[in-house]
Amino acid sequence: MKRSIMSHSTAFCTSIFLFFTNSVFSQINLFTDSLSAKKHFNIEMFGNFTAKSNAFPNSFYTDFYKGGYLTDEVKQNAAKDLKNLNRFGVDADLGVVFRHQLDTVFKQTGWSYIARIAERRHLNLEMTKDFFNVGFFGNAMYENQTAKLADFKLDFISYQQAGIGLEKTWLLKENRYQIGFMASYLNGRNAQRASVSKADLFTATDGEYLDLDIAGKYNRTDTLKNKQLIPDHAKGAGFSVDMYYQLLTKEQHKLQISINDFGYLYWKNSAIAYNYDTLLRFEGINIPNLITINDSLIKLSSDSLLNLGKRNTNKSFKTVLPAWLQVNYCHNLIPGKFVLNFSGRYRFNDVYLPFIAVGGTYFYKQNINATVSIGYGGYGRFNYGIMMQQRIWKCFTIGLGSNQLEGLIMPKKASGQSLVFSIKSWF
Amino acid sequence: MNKHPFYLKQFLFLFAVLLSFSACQKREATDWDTNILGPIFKTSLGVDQILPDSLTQINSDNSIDLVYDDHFNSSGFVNTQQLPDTAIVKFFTIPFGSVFLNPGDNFLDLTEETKLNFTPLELSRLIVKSGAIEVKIINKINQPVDVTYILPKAIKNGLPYTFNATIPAYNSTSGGNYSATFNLDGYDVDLRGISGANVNRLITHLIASISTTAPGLAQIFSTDSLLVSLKLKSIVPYYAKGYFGQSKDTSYANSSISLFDRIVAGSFSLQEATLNLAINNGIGADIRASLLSFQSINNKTGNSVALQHNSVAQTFNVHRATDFPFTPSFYSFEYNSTNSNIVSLLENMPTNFSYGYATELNPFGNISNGNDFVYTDKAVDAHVRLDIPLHFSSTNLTLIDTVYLQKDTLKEHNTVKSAALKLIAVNSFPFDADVKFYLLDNNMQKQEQLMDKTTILAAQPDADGKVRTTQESKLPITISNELLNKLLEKRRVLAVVTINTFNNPNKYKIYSDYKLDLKLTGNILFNVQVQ
Repeated sequence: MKRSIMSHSTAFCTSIFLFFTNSVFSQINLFTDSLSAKKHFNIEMFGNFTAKSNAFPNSFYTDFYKGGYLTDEVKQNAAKDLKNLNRFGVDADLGVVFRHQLDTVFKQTGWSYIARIAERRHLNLEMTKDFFNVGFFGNAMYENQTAKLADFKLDFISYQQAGIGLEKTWLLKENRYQIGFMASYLNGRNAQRASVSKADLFTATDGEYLDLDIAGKYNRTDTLKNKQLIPDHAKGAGFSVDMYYQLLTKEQHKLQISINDFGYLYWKNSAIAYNYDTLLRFEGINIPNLITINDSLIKLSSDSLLNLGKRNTNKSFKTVLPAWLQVNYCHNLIPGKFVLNFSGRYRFNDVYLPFIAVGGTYFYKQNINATVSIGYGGYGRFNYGIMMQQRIWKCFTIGLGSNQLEGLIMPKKASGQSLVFSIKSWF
Repeated sequence: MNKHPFYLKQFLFLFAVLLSFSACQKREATDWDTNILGPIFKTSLGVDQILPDSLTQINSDNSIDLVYDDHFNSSGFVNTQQLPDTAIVKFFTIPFGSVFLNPGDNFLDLTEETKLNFTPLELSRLIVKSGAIEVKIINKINQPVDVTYILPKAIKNGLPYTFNATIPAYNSTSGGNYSATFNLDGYDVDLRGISGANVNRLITHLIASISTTAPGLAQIFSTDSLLVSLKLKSIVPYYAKGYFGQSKDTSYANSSISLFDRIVAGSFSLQEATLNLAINNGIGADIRASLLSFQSINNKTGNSVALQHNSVAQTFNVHRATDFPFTPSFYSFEYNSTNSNIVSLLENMPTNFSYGYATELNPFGNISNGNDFVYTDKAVDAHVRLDIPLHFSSTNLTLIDTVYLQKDTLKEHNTVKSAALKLIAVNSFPFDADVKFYLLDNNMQKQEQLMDKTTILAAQPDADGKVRTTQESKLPITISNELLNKLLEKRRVLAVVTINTFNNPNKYKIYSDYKLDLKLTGNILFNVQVQ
């Protein structure tokens, strides 16, 4: 019995180390150390900004986002490492999670309820090298050539999330299990979505004509309302669920499987939709009689050129959320000192590629640790992460780190940057 | 910290990005330059667009003639357009001495003939198209007087012209005055007088009586009178008959023409041209006319060319029209490249035509025995038709036009930083067009030239003179940012086109299927801006 208690105490203590290893691999999830926590209440504020590309250096998209004039040097620097298909993804999240472990519910133990509110933004983008070149340098470089502009995908969503969930923890054969479920209402703010499956742009010699063979669609919410500070409830709404499963064995192995952000957003009638499926030859605006040309013909704007061959309809559209499937595995390799982590992740409805990572958490002291990781996949190629956590004033744990360490070291050359933080308290 | 200021900077930036994401803060727009290569506009210039349909005629072989057609209508040879105003003043005294008259008693009933001063016209009949008779009567009798005034030979709808009026009584301070104006439109007036053998004679009939509204017996003295003044005013005849007299007139005139206004230099040579002048004389009187001179004057060059034709300074008789039925007489001239130097007159690119002519009415006297006539709407009708086959050669023929770009138009194009444009011309006309665009300053003076190479090459005609193969030319137009700013500021562009026909001085016909296809393409440096 004593051995058993000792064994459980040891397992409990070491399991704490295991739980500290989560954050560096997770984007936004509900895994906490509740599996082994003694306190009943937990509140956590978290923030995440992660941007990653397989081609564009940080300097490009930070300059792009900051605004102002993009010099040729900036554009050329971005263009030199372009691939045939170039991906880019950004997540910006800020939220608060509250968890209450109940003593008993209908005479059953191990139940908790969870509540979460969050502000979520996500962008993912995939474009060809030609698309980038045409967009940022123009089509002049493709004289007498065809620029392959497809595949092109763009998804931008901005929404608020309010959810409530339940989780159940139980002990079986000295292994701890936990399952959880959370349902969230989504208040849509803005969205843009483009999907172009075919877009060949041929530029004739001297620009005598342009041939565009295009099939695709573009949806956008009403940009006029984007500047509103208070969200427009009539704009978009949705629903999402999160599900997770955790296993902590007595041998100090931990397995986590979760599905997050499984849901959709429905954007209402304020949305604008463009559908293209046309083969267009543009030979210039036809002026029937140059002698009697009038102002209306001179006032040809670039808008009128862009509007050619386009169908414009107002209708609603739906955004299926880019849901996460995450699998984490941790093992307390050197009890109290070092935890080995493996992680795999995939994001549905996104340009995200399967991501795998390996890392380790070193405990400098029981209340201070640092995690480093190396991963491959996702929006880019190699990802290097670092996360530091420290428990302060006994009831607070703060964590600060980055999933894209390379962005801090080589900000101009690297193609990712990230900052994640959390402030957590048990009481 | 000091060792790693860079990390701090990165962290601060990331925090700032995070905050900006969550706070919905407005950020600066991002912009960049991009080179767009593509077509801007295309157009096709055919003869039907350069010249209005009303001025062109397509012949059976599809060659084109420039045709100018016009009609001149005038009755000016006979001065009947508006007859001179003529006043008739009559002073009537009472013929009986001092008498007493009851209300309603007549004291005047007088028919008279008055000669109208229409000299030199001697009219026997006049149908009034429009005009009026102005009547003023002064009554010196101390009772009101009823007056009936009749023009018995002025008939309308079978009734003579008549007006009735009551003239107020005379009192010590003033005579009884009456004035009124009556319309004479449509009256057919016989001017042969009472005898029926005179001309310009108007018969009037005056009846005057003591007004039935007079309060009682009127005593009339021999010194009492009625003063009646009639004035025929602004009489415009529809028809006049009589003898129109003999008159001579010599006139010199100058007409400006705008056909060659835009040509500022160079020359062209026409193969042929024909001017037809057809005169319909609708006046029932003989006319002798003479073209004294006709000159083509180019005020820009100072050159003038006088018409050489056997009609110049020669007199010709245009016979009178006949009536019942109305039949005008006809006379025509043709000026062509064989019998005149009409081609030279046109090649002078006149800004004005200066001409003089002499006319003589009834040169043989009153041979119609007073039966000259004129319908004022059918007098003399001259039809001029100038036919210029577009069959020519040109040497440095230079045309100019000014293009003014609207301010609003330019506002939309402020994202263009510079442009390397190319004008692609596919020409089937057998002439080169050297095209230049200049910026104009505020004083409309030329500044920079907008284009580098500027010649649209001529298409080469086959041996039969007809073009069957088009010629393509590409004209680069470079607009730098500096030039674009000047264009935005000045907004005025002078277009100068110099035309040289192929294989000059050979002349070529222009056919209706010839055209100049123009396409403007551009490699435009745009500044793209996204929010």
